[in-house]
Amino acid sequence: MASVLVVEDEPRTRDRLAGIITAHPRLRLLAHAGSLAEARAVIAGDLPDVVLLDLGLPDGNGLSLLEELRTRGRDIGVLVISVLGDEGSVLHAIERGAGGYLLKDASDADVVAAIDQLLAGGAPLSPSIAVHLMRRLQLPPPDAQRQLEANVGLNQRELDLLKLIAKGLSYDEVGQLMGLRYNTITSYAKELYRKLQVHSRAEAVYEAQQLGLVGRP
Amino acid sequence: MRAFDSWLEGSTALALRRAVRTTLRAAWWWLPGLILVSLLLLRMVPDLQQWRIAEVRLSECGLQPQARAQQLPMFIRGVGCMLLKAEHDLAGQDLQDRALLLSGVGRDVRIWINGVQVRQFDPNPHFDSTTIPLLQPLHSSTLLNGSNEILLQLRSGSGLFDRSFVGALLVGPNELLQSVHRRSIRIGAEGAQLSIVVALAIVLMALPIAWSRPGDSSYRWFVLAVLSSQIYVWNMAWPLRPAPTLLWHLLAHGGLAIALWSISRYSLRVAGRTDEGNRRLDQVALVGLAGLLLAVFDTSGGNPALVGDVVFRISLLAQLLMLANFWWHRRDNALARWMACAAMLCLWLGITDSLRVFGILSPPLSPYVLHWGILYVLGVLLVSQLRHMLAALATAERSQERLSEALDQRSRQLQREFTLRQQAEQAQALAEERQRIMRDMHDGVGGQLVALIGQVEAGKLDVGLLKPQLRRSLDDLRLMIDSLDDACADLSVALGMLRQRLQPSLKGLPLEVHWQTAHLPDLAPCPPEVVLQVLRIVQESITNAIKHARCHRLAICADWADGWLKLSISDDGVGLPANAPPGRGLPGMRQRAAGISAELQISALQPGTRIELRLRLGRA
Repeated sequence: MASVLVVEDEPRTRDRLAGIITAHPRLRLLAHAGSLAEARAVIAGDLPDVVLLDLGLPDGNGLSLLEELRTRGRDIGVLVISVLGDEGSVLHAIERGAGGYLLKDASDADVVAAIDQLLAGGAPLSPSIAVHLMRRLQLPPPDAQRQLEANVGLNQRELDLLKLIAKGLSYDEVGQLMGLRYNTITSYAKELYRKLQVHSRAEAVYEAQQLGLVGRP
Repeated sequence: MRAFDSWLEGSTALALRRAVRTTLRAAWWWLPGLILVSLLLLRMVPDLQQWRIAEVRLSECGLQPQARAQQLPMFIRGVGCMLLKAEHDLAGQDLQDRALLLSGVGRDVRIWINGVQVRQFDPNPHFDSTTIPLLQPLHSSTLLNGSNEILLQLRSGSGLFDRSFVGALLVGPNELLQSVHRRSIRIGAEGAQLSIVVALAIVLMALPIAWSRPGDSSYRWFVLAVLSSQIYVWNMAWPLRPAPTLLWHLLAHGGLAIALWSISRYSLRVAGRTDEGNRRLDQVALVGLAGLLLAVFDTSGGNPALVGDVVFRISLLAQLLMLANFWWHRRDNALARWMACAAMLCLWLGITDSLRVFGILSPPLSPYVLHWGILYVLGVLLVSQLRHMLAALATAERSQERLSEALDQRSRQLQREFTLRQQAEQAQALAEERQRIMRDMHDGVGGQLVALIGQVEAGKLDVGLLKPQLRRSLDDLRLMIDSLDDACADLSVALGMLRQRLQPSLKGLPLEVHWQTAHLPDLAPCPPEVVLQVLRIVQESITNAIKHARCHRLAICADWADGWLKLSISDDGVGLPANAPPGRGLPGMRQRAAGISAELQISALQPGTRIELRLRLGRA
């Protein structure tokens, strides 16, 4: 049983999401919180497996909670709750460690499917996110690249995958074209998310070095 | 002349004061000439009166010589021979270490003392007008303690201008006469050497200018002239060289004439009096050239070298007068003042020199000083050229500074203007984009919400229709947001997004949906309004097909070929009823298509309908 924390300030959505999770046999609702403070109080005690996180909370931005969760060490899946699914804010959240996003008006089945996918180690890749990943990871700045121990650039296979997804192909169709299984593709997606996080961290370090905020190694 | 004018007006004292002040202020150009002349005069006049010959008698030898009787200098013109008899009293004087010093012009010189021939001397058998500087040491046995008789024979040539003359005939201590002789030669040599140095400096300075002005020949002429003028003085600078030849003499005088001609041309050019002045100058030059040619082809048996000498002096005089004229018209020009000063000195030296050469006026043993005048002319040129170059350099530097300053200023101004313009353009783009988004909201979500509110207020709200209508509003809002995502500027990605957006709502329908959009190439970026309208048209076509056509199969195909993107949405539904009023949304779709310059075609299938959108679009 995977435990889920719902962080959402709007009561109706919060109750609906809590209801879906409570009703599901394989999921357990750890708690629901209406603010950052409440969420912090929950995770201080017990860590959830999955967090459904709204970004616009009354006492701050949900992104700060993402940072805190990442420092806790355990692999906690975070789905950002988005009204419009606009890629700018979603991508920003992914860079901070989110594992995907959930539309507020998603059907019950879609909510469960998204949580399942996350728990199975996958991540949703929309065409627009695919294009952003391509752009951000295909040509890392040479200096930033030098700073990295691991190469976070795209390999050819990942690039092919992203190109197909950018054109709107579903995971199944991509799998057929590339001769990959569904699970392989979701793990690819996860890996791409990870790379983007590493990449954005490396860029942050690089920028900080350029600004003289931290010393050079 | 200003002083003269003022005097005419009556204020003499003022005019005098002004004249003195003007002269003193201009001292920098006449003072060097004054110093030069003083130095020359100081060195030129040795006190040799006591060594003068006591008595001079002239004997005939051919034509009658013209001479002031009993007095040196004397000269003979035309074919002739001068026999000069002089007596010199050496009573009570030491007879050891005596010498005789002769200066003059002529050839076939013979000297007897007390009946004994002591010297036979012919400077140049083909060239009988060479100035003779002759020092003859005398043996004590040939001299008498009392009155001594000196007999001198001198021959002149047979040409029109030929003449010979004796300027000085001295007997005195060997040592003293030697030093006088040496000094006389040295003064000439020094002037010549200095002149050569100055000329070389001028040439060195003028050469780069001559080279840098391929279209302007005046500087090259100038260089050539300055160089050729030095042929003349070359022999005087080193008097121990072999005696000059006829060719040398012609070359030297011709070169000097060219030099004067070109220098005058140059100064006229500088003074801006080119046309009239140069015409006159060229006439003088032509006369000089004709004279030189006449001399070369003179078959009368005369002396060509002498003709060259005469022609040169005439041209010198003419050109110096022209320089004076030039100065008269350009008194305010510094170069004109220099040139006038130099011309005056040259004129004076040239006249005295000429008078000496022609035997009319001559101090004893005066050295040949014309090239000191030439030195001054060249010096003036050198200084003026230096000033000219320095002024040009300073002007160039100043103008460069001004230019770079102006450039800086201009580029700063441009930068400012550019920034302002950029800001204005950005502001305008922003405003336009806001306006567009507002219009889109108004057309889409806003309109739909207003319609819903209207229904609610009228109490006609059908709850069953509420959800799809709200869903439609949300979908439209998402389309707008997608169209603003720069990743969706590529229509192939935007279509992918649309597909993903529609996927959940299509999933539950009893409908077979085929998307054939994945094989599109990367397309050139489209502005958001085009993306939005294309997405709206496709979405509306799909909605219409599902809602009205009751279809079972739906195919969304995209093709790109030859710069055209073709999108088609085909269904197998009931199709558009014949002669029916246009279906809902169709006029709107056409309007949208027209707004982005796309072609929209609606055609009936058997069964079904196909909506085709064609849009001109390049590849990425």
